[in-house]
Amino acid sequence: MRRHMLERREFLKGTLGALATFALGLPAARLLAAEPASALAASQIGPGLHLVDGWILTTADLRAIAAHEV
Amino acid sequence: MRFDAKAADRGGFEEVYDVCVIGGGPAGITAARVLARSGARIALMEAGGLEIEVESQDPYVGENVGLDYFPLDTSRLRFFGGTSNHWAGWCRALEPVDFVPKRYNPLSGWPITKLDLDPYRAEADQILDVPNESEAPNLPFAQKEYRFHRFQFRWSPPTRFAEKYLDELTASDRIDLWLNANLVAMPMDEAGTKVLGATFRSYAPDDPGFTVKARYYVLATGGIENARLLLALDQQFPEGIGNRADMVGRFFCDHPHFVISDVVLRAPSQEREYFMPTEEFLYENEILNFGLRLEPEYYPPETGLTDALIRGAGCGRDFGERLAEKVLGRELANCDLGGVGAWWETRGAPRPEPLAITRIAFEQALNPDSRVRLGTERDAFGLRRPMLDWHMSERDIHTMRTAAMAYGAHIAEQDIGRLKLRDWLTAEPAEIPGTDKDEVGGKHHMGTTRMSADPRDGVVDADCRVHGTDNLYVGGSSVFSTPGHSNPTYTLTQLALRLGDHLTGRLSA
Repeated sequence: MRRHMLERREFLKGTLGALATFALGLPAARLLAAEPASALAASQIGPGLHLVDGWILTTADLRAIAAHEV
Repeated sequence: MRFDAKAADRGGFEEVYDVCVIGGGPAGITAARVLARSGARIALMEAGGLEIEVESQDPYVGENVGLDYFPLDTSRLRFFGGTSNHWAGWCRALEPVDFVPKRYNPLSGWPITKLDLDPYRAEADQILDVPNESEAPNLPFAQKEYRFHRFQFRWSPPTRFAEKYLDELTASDRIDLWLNANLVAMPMDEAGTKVLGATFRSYAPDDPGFTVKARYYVLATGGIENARLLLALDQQFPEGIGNRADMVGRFFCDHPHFVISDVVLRAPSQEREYFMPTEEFLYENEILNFGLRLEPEYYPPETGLTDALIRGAGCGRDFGERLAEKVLGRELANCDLGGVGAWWETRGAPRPEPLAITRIAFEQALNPDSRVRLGTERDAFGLRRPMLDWHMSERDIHTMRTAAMAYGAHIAEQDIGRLKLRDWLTAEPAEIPGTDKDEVGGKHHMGTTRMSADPRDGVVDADCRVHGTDNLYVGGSSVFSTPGHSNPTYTLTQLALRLGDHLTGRLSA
């Protein structure tokens, strides 16, 4: 279990790191452009969803992150 | 009857058997039993004994020169019962779509359909001891979803063929089961169309060997070994047996197994769920079949200090005390789950988000360069050892990425949770994990003597007969034309039953 807890901690740290990047005001568009779009076209995930740093997030997620609400 | 080549008890080999089955694993045992029912006389030749031994396992030693893969002598077993001695029991028949050619996967599809295998479901269920229903039903989604089916596996206990069938085979007056009999030669007529005999040796270095003669021969030694033997038995033909089209050993594939994403769930879940693509989604995205497993992480219950102390009361004592208690049949405190350590880790902290991973097992694109070849080293019988050159393709990466993206979209749209693709999968090029980091494969060795209508496209025909030969057949997952995503044992059992029926028909003609 200890190993899992450490992994969880690392995972959440990574998650919060990604969210913090938003909170610091980096425009979402820039992050989206940073994705390897050739193979991971955002169009594959449909309207209203965004591929950000490997996360698949909704527009509401992005707004909430930008408003420091997460 | 049962014999042991080590004991040099070789009486009875003046007889010409109806069928010589080489390999005492699930495919070989199944085919032999079907044939025996019709009254045929069968020689069932197993290279190992009744237990795993170093000397019998040794010919499986080989080299991996492609993608990181399991050592070849640990991912398969060379003794009676074969790889059923360590399989995990996952059962599911192939889907209808798995038999159909796909233009974006050249040579894909089978020369038979699912309907050709369906008549063997009931008996395959019985052999593998899976619940008495022909197919586990797909499960409904709580919401509309065109991209996936939720599906179920069925489970064998798992059946160990050696335990289940040894007494029956030993008592049979139709089957002669030989242990410790290693195939070392397969003389053929000059044209290479007819097998004249199969020569075996025990492990004794000075054993001159003995030849079994039969009307028909079935090679059923596993997905790597079938190809290795056909290539290595090159005494008469430099390219080996059945290899005029240079197809033996090509198209090796496994079901790659990788964790492809991490998931934060909205609510805790303890349920594993399985998803596979709908045909519409599969064709629309030009991907290959996959099974995606949502695997919630173990979520420890909140631990109060009192509970933790009670639970952990048995911990901290020395090994001798705990061993004594265990020997006396007493329950020991589980010191890892819910004890003081867990309380310390979670005290006062907000409960973490419920987490999960998604794990994929998928069908690889057909690739002639992903193959079993022969190495330069030789085994104790003078046959060249196998060399596995396993590859993945861009289509394989595309399948994994598409599956992860679509599932991520599904859970975001339905607000079930949010998903993050693993970094190795989003990297360009993808950085495929090795065996030190992930499961990598299912040890499902498939495709190396693939079934094809045209001899230029494969090794065996729709009846599992080696193209261009009259009396040589192949059993097992090496004949899979296209592997689908389901574990192979169920399908190879169906195929072995069908092969038994086919040979019964030829014998009675």
